[in-house]
Amino acid sequence: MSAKLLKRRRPKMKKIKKFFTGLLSVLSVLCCFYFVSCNGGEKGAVVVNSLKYSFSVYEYSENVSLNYSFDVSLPSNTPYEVEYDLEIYCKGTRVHQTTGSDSFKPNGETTRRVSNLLFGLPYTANSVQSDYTLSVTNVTVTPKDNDKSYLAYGIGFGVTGGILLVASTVLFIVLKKRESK
Amino acid sequence: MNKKFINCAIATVFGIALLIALSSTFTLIFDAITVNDVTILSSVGKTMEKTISYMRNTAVGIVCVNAAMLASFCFAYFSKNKKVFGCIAAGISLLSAVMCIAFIFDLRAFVLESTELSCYTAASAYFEKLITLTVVALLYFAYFLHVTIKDFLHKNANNGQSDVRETVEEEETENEKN
Repeated sequence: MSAKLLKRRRPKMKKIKKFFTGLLSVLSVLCCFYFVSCNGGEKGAVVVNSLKYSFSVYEYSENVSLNYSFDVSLPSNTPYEVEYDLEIYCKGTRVHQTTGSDSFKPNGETTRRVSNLLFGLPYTANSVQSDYTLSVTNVTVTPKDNDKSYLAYGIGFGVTGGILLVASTVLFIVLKKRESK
Repeated sequence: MNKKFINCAIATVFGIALLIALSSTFTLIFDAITVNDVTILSSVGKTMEKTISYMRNTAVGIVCVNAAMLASFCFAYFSKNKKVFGCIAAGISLLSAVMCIAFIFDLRAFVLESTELSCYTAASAYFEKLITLTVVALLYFAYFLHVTIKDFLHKNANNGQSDVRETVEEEETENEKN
């Protein structure tokens, strides 16, 4: 093969290589964007020692109600969802366990109060308000921006597209090399 | 009709189709990134959230397949092996078109079940982009299928001719020997 022909082919191959390097870079950047936004940015946290609660015991109806609140910190101005576990103890014995959740959109605030009122909690005979204690555990403050029910579509077809792209690029390069030989 | 004019017209149509495919793919990329903004601006219901999630995830899938499709067009154009790369380009184009059509009908069924007008409005804007991509993908599928078949038939015809030539040459050499 003459030197002239080789010289002509090299810039063309370089251009093609550059094009596909660019294409793959764009694709990888897009994937990064996608997976970062899937995680939904920064998580919030519960503010330490912010839990306040009060029990009301109604002896005549044998009923107990609870009013509680605690603060959570919000690192960004996106909608958040708070999920937590509640455990109610009477005289040191756990009498009730439940989960709570709340969602809200901060309006520029960095902290937000989560409060709730619960009725119809189990009554223990001869108990007074001071016998009851509340424990809030496993508080998760996550950005509420994703419904992940169709995530498999994105990942499945994304991976398929990626595999097709890489396979066809490899095939093209291999065949080009064979042609040049 | 003038063959040169037909070739020029076909090249123009496919050039425009390629530009449309590129712009639609980029629109889908930005759709996938920005579609979540709706949930920040206003509180939306569960159905709308699901619609947004569907649009976002399918958009990412289509963009990835479209990247492969556009790359395969380039390979088919630059490569001398039109049969292989034409086949690949036609296959990926068909996959892209089928995906778009399937997503349109799947999302339509979902938003009709939800009976929320806002969901249908959001979905119909998404349908428009998918329909455009479907048309372009089908157009390219037809083109590359035609190119592949043409290349295949041309090579077969060449092979047939070369076989005939070889047999004639063999007969001639045998005659000379005799």
